[in-house]
Amino acid sequence: MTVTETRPGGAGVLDSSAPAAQPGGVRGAPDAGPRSVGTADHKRLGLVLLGTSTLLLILGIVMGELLQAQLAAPDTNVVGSRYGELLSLHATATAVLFLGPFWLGLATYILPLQIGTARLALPRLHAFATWLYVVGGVVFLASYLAGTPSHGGITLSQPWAAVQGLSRADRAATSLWIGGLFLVGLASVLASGDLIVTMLKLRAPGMTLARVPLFSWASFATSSVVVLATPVFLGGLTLLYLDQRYGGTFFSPSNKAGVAVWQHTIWLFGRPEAFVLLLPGLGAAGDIVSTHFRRPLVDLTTARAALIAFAGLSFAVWAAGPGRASAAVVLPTSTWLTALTAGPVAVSVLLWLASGRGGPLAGAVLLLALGAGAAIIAPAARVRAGTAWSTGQLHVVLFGAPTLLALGAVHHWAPKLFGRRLSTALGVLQLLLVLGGFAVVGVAEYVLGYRHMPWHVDSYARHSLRALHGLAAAGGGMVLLGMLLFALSSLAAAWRRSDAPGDPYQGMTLEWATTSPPPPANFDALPEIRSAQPLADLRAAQAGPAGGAA
Amino acid sequence: MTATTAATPALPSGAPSRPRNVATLAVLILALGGMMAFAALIAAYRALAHYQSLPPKGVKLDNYLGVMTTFTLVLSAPLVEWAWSAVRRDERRQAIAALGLTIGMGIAFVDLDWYLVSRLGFGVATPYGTVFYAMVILAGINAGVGILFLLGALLRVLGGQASGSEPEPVRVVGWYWEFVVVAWVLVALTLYPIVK
Repeated sequence: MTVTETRPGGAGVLDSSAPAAQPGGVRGAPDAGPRSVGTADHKRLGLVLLGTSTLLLILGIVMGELLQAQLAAPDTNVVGSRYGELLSLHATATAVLFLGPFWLGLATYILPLQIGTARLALPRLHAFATWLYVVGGVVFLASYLAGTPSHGGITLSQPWAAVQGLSRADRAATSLWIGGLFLVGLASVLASGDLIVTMLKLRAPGMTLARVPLFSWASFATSSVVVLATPVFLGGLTLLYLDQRYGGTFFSPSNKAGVAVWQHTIWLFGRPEAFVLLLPGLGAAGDIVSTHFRRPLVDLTTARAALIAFAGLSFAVWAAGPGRASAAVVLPTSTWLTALTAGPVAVSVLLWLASGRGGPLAGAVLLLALGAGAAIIAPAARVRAGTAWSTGQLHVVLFGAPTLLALGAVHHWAPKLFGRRLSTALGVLQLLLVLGGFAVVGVAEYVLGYRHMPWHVDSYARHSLRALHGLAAAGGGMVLLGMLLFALSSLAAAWRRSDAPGDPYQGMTLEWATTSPPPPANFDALPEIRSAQPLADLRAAQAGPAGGAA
Repeated sequence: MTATTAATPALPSGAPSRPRNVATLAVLILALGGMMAFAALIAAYRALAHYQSLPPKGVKLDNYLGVMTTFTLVLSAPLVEWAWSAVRRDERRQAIAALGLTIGMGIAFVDLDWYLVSRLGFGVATPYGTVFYAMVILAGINAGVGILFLLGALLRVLGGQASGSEPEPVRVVGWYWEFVVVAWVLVALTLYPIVK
């Protein structure tokens, strides 16, 4: 069925075979190359964030593989004395520099489309934040070239060690490390603030908050958490910088207040930060399910409430015992309050399952179930904190599941991002590699933890653990292969000519009411918005008398 | 099968007119984030006070200087409100005067802040010194950013880009400046035990 829009040349709102923006024309994706430097177009900025964070992730996984190579056998020496340094780089690059900015990039691209606006509220501020993130990432990486910045531990749990008795090179490296993290944090706050304003002020007429799609809601909730939690960390980094650069003593071990302040700083920033890595994925999954099964989630209000509850609980876990804050971000299920966060996740998963089932979502659900199972088994098995079990839990729950959801989201929105759909066959392969890789890593590390293998150590004595370490390395390799495949297929799609129709899925939300990729102003015309599924409403209206006549 | 829907309900889009109060809301949200950073530092100070008496023995703060610095900044708050009021009433000359005076008071505050730091008589080498300097310097930087915003607003008024029909540029800057004032007042109340 061909449907002509009201404005000639406009986006074919209902025409699933509507041509791409420039059929047979230029490359599919909005340019994310050098010409993006001066742009304030949310689409280009989103691609810059997505591309940079993916590069940093691949770097982080390579570091992880080097760490695993070090543990291949009890007497192996691959990275020598730089194990702690690489561990710090691996953890930060994957968790802080990849997932958060990756979701931010996707929200930067998709949120304006979902709420029916042509641009971000403060595009120049957002552009500034985007490049601040890129510069911050470069400064952060440069710190590892300048020296050893990781004397304070993987989560900087001993800040005094990061400032005291360092060589000149290590002091410079630590300054760069603090500066890089500060810039990345500041960039996150500025960009998140802009997303909040965009969501609140630039919605299309008729797009009430109750009609905003779930991914935008999740991005809004995530941005709110980032705006409230990250400045606390920036305040702590300021104190640390004064100690490190100007000889301050706030974090000296003799100052009990300093130790408590740092624990609370990490706790108040790190806990929400760790939890909100999953939050946008929950929203994206809701949209993916409802789009591909062509019906809204069974209870949209509950789905939204679950997202908000999850964001709120991510803050509440701060109250769950700062006495355990030395372990800070690394024990996701250590208290009853943190365990409560499983509630909204479970509600979201049940809503997806009630509405439909899908590959990447099923993968993420499997990983979450694996993590939940491990958390339940752990007390019975008397697994101690600070063992490889915690590393497994981190890899599976806090990193694996959100990463799978992120890949699923990019596959889902690829027509908008790149002007083409990504290859389904390669997508299945990526799913198998990444899901399988994380599962293998997780299971190997759970068993290692059960056998009292401590985490964050560069050697071990028992030869009997060798096979398990080999298994973890193989799992990491699978994840690396999957992510490389994802990056290459995304690059190929962005490079090739766009051929995706405007609405390849018969979607219901506004991002499908424009061409793929969207034109600079996003929409030529918008359908009237009378519910959370404006395109479905429009289809129903057109299938009425006119459809019958036809 | 072809169906033409000339009567498809559609809304104009593309580049809609800019909604009101966007920048104001942005400043409020980012100021909230800024407040969290100041709250973290104030909490650090309070935590320190839990373990030792503050200010420590041997440290004598110049309350007069602290109060004068605070007064200088607090007095700039009504000036920036005056500027916004003048812009709304299309009183361009008044707006220019009010913004100019606010900038002057802001520069005076930064100068006093710098003078205050230079006369402290203690360095960052103690935990108290570290957190004291962090708060005072951050407040000074915050005011510096505010002054740049005020200059931008002044230029927009001079260039006719802020007027009764378009007062938002001045209001946004006004809100940011109020944030600068409130943040400093909280810092000053924390650092200077005037009430005691």
